Amino acid sequence: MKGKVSLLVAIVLLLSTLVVPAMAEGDPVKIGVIAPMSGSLATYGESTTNGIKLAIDEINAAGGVLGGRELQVISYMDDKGDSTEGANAFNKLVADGAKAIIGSVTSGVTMGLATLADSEGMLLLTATATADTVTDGVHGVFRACFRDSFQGEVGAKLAVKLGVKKVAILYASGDTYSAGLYEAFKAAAANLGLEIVAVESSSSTSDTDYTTQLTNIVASGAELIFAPYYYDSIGPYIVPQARAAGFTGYFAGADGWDGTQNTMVEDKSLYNNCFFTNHYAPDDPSDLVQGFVTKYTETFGAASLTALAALGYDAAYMLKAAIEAAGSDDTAAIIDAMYGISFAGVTGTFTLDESGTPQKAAPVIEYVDGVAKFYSYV
Amino acid sequence: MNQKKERLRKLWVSLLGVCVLGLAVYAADSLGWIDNYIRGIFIQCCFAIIMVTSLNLVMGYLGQIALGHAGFMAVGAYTSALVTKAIGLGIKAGAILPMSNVMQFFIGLLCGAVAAALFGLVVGIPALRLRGDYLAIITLGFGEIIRVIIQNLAFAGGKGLANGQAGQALVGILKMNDIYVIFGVTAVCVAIMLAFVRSKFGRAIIAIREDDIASSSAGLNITFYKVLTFTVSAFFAGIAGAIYAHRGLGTLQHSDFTFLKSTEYVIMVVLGGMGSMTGSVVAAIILSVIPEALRAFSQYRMLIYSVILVLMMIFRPIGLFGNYEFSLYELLRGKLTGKPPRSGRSAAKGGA
Repeated sequence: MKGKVSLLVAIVLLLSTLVVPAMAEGDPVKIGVIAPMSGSLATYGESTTNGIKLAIDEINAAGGVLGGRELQVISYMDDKGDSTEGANAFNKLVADGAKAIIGSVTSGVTMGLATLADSEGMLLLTATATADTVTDGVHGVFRACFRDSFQGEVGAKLAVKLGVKKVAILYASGDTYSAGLYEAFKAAAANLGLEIVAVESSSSTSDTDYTTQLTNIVASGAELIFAPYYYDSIGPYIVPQARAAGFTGYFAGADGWDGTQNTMVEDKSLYNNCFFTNHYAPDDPSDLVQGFVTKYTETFGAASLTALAALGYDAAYMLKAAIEAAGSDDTAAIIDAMYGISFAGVTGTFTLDESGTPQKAAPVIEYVDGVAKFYSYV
Repeated sequence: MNQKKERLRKLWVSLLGVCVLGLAVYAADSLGWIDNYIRGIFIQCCFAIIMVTSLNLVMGYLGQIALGHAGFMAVGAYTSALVTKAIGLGIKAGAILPMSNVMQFFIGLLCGAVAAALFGLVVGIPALRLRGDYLAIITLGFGEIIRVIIQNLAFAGGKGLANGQAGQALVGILKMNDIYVIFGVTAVCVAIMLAFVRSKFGRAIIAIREDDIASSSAGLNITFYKVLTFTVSAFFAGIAGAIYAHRGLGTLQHSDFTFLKSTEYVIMVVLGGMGSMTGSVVAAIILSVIPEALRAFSQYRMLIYSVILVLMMIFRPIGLFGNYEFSLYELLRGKLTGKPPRSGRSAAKGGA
C-alpha cells in the first residue's frame, strides 16, 4: 500500500516537473481577436488569424508575457465583415474580460469598433485596417499597417524614383480605398513636382471595361499610370486593356494588387513595368521575414500566406511588446505603452506616431514576367 | 356598440402588454443584466423587427416580392445621420438652440423616414406596374442604385456634409443607444403597422393580393393601394435605418446595405410566415440572436445557421406562424372566461 502511494507521489512529481516549465506562472493575460471568418471576406480573416495564432503560439512557447504569464486568446470572434456583428463580438469580448483586442480586418468594421474602444477605454489593435480615419480622434486605437494615404505618397515617390515626369491616375470614385489613395497620390505628386496629365475614373472597382479611360490616358502622353485597384480587376482587365490601347509605360499600384499573379492573362510580359507597394515582401532576404515565411508555410500551408498574415503576426508581437513595456496587464497602462512604441517585425521596423499608426518604409514589388519580385523599399 | 367596447378593451390590453414588456426590460436593466453586449443585440433585434414587419407589408400582405428593402434603410440611415450631424453643427455654431440627444435623434428619425418614404414612392410608381419575379428584379436593381448613388455622394462620406468625401464611410454620427427610446420607437412602429393592416387599407391590400382583377372590378384603385403600401413600408424601413445609423458605432458605410442585407430580411419574413406580424417579430428576434448564440462554433456558425433555415423550411414551409397572429387579449379572454380562445384568426382573414 505504502509502495503504491509513494509510486503515485513519484509519478505526480515526475509529471509536475514535465508540466511546470511549459505552464506559464500566474493568471493568463486575456486578449480577444475579431476577424471575418465567414462570408465573402473569410479568406482575409483566415490569413490574419493564422498569423496571430502563429505569433501567440510562439510567444507562449517562449514563456509568455510579464515573466511567464500566458498570453491567452479568449476567443477568435467572427464579424462576417459586418459592423453590427463586429460590435457584438467586441462587447462580448469586453464582457469576458479581455485586456486588449486585436481586430478587425476591414476598415469598415474597425471604424465602428474604434468608437466603441474609445468610449470603453479598451485597447484596439487592428492588423490590417488601412483607411486613413481609423485611428483619428479615438484614444487607444492602433494599427500594425500603414494608412492608405501613405501608399499614395509612396506611389508618387516611386514615380520620382523611376524617373518619370508625367503621370496619370485611374481610380474608382465610389470605392473608399481607391478614392482615398487617389487623393493622397494627387497631393503627394503635386509636392514632388510631378505633372498629372490625366485623371480618369470608373464608378466602382468591379468594372470590366476601362478602354475609354485608358485611351484618354494614352492620348495625354502619361509615362506612369497610378491605378489603385484590386487584383481582380488589375490582372484581367486594366493592364491588358492599357497595353492594348498602346500604353507602354509604368503602372504603379498599392496593396490591393497583391495576388495579381493569380488573375493575369496568358501573356505575362504585359505585366512587366508594373510596380505596387505592399506590407511585406515574402522574398525579402532578412532572417525575420524568411523565418516567418518558413514557419507559416509549415503550419498553415502557403495558400493563405499573404500580407495580412504577416500583419496579423506583427500585431500579436506588438501587443506583447506593449504589455512588456507597460509591465502589467492593465489596459490603460498597455495603451500608454503602445503610443510611441518602436517595433521591428516582419512588415518592417517602425515607430507608432501619436495617432497610433506606424511610420514605416513600404516595400515595392515588381512583376517580372508574371512573378512578383521584391524591388526596393521606398 | 359592443364591438367598439371590445376594441377599446383590446387596445388597453395591448398597451398593458407593451408596458409589461417595457417593465421587464427595465427590471433586467436595473438588475444589471444588460451589459453592452446584450444592449447591442437588443438594438439589433429592434431595427430588425421594424425592417421585417415593414417588409412583410409588401411581401406578406401585398403579396409582392421586394429585394431592395435595404436601399430604403440606407436612405433613412444616411438622411437621419446627416440631419443629426447638421443639428449638432448648428448647435455648436449657436445657430440652433441646444436640445437633448433624444430630440435630435427624433428629428433625424422623422427626416429619415420621410426621405425613405419619398424614395419608396418614386421607386414604387414605375416598379409596381410589374408583378412577381419582374418586380423582385426591379426592386433589387433600385436597391443597388440607391446604394451606388450614396457611395458617390461627397456629402454622405467622410466627415459628412461640407467636409465630406465620396466613397468613404460616414463617421462621427451621434450615438443614440438608449434601449428605452429604441424599444418605444419599435413598439409604436409595430403598433402602427398592425393598425394599418387591420384598417380599411389593409383589407383592400389583402383583397388585391388574393385577386387583383376581382378587387379592381369591385372598385379598388389597385395602383394606389400598391404604391401606398410600398411607401408605408419604405417609411418604416427609413425608421429602422435611422436606428441603425445611431446605434452607437458612429459610422455608416454603403456596403452595409447591399442586396445581401435585403435578402437577410426577406429570409426573416419568409421564416416568420408571410402575412403574420407576430411571425415577423419572432423571426427577426430569432435570426438576430441565433448567430450570436452560435458564437461558440466559430467559423461553423453560419453553416449551422443555414442548416437551421433549411430544416425550418422543410418542416414548416409556411413559416413559423403561417398567418397566425398572437393576441394577448384573446389569450387572456380564453384563460379568464374559460372560453376557447379565438386564436388562429389573423388580420389577413379580416379577423380583428
